[in-house]
Amino acid sequence: MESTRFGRIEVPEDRLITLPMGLPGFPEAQTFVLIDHTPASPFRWLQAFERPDLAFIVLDPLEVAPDFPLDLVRRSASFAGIDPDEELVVLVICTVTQTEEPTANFLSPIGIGKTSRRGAQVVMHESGFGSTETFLHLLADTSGSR
Amino acid sequence: MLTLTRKIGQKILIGNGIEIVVREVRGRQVRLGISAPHGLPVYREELYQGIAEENVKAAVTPSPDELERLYAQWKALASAGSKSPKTD
Repeated sequence: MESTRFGRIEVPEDRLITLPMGLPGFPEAQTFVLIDHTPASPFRWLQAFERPDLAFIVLDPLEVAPDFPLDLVRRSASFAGIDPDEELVVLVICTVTQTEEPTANFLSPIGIGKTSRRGAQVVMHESGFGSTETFLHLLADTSGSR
Repeated sequence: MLTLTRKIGQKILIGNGIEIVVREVRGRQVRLGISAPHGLPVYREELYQGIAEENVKAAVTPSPDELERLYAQWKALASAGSKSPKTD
């Protein structure tokens, strides 16, 4: 596949992720690939398969919020066809600009089934999390977790 | 757009899987009950738009350089955090 940021990359078919509803704002982008940053980095790229220019910086919310309600993600994402018993990968999209402090959308995480490789971006109505939460400062509070 | 008048407790059926019932009318607010098949997400429109806007903002800017900078900040903070004395 082609990508604007990483050039041409080989992706085995079983690495493809299907988000049947797309992402709000990008309903047409339904197939994605997760690309690691560096082995030690908590960040990854969520690269759209059919859109070389579309990629998001994503982060496992547990890296900064150990109490992140994974059960709520599982319940909210069940419509995407995730098996109730399969393990989930949970990711939040980071907004990184040159001028503002980085934020992440903890209100709307993406839940992806590890086996089915299907998922969805959900809204966690009762979570108390917002869509533009700064997160770097949380690292100081979770000392020793990494 | 189809416009229907309903009383409290009355329903609207869409296809054979979606049911909307008027629960309560109070001044300018209406409470609706919605039953939809398991496979169908239901959103408040403005919340969906808010997520869409945040996604668009997140998708516009990031470059590999941007991520390197973010990761450098992360590493600095994480190592500062792990050096702080453990409280146990």
